[in-house]
Amino acid sequence: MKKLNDSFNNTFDNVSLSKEKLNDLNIKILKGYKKRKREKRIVLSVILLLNIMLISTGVVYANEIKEMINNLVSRKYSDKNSNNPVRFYAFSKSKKILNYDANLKEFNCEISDADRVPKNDKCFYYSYEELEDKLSIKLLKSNLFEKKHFLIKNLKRVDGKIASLNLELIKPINNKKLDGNINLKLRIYINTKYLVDTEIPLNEEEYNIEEMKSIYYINNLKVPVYGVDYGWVKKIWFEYDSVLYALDIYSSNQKLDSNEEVKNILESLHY
Amino acid sequence: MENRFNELYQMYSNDIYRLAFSYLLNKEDSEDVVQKVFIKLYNNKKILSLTHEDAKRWLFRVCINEAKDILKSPWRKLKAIIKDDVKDKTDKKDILIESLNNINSDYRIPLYLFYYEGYSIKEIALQMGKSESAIKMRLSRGKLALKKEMEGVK
Repeated sequence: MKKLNDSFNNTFDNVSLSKEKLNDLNIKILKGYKKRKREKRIVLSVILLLNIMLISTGVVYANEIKEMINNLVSRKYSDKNSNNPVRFYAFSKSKKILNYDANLKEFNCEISDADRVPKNDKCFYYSYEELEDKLSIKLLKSNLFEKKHFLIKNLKRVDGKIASLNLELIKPINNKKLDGNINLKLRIYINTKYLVDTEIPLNEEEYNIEEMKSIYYINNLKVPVYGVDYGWVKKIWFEYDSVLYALDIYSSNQKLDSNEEVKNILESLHY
Repeated sequence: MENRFNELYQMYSNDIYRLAFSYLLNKEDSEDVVQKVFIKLYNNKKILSLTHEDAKRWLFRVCINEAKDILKSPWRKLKAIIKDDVKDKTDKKDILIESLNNINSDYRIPLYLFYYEGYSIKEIALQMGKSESAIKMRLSRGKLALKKEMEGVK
């Protein structure tokens, strides 16, 4: 052990920094510290700037970002009792905040009576203003709509609170004003937090689709529109402000995505 | 704080240099380590307010970590290859340095701290953050390997 001790002492006693080197290193240390401090400040400033830009982008594009989070989904549903065992549904996962205690009456007549029978307890319908007032929400409307009578279908309550409701606006546009071959039906689906998922989701639309494909983008509302073309009937749907709007278009052969009438109707929608 | 820094620098810069050298066996790299260690110390109020003993322990710990980083660096490996190609074969080599160069680098620091700094096994274990049994094993193996190398070099 003594030998190793001596070896280490003899060697490492001669390992040292000269005075000049010590001073030189001291200067480098100070420069190095200042450089590190400066670099840290630059990095922090860049990070801060990036964060500000990110937050600003989020604020400015909040709606666009919100759109990208799609609450519209399609789901495969197997019905063993049905002749058509595999069906696909499109439905919304959104939950709307509204007046859950609103006193509403369902429409319990034939749909064809909606045009002919005056309002009564059984054949009850609402105007836009009445519904919006009762539910404390806004609904999309169009200046092209002439008939503005909403029928309430499938109002579901849970513990007295509105869990879901379907609204229908039948033939809102006089088809004489459109290309004579178009008839429209507007359906609105609203779910609330009181809706407990069941095996068959309420407010579903059976559209026989496998995946959601966007066919159009409503520039005015900044939402994508999805659709399926069955030929003589075309079904389109979109979600706006946590409400699912579905349009049934009974039309001739014109393809959905190039149908100017339909595009005009969609772009005319507003609160 | 600056006075305290200067004081610690004057007291321990050579100790740090030697410790780094015992591991890296290279002047330039060891000088780099000294510079890095003391840059970290500069304006570190927490360390500057420690006692001499505690500050030295901290400096040694940082030095060991910096030295290990340099040894691992791919640039260092490349430099070593280049240096090997151009080294002057007539240089008189220190037997101990040459022998240290040929043994496992994990043994170098415990050997240095034990034989030159006079640290106990317990103190080395504390300094390096290892168990005493691990340090004992490194010392024992390092000593055997070093002796064998030194006899071979002679």
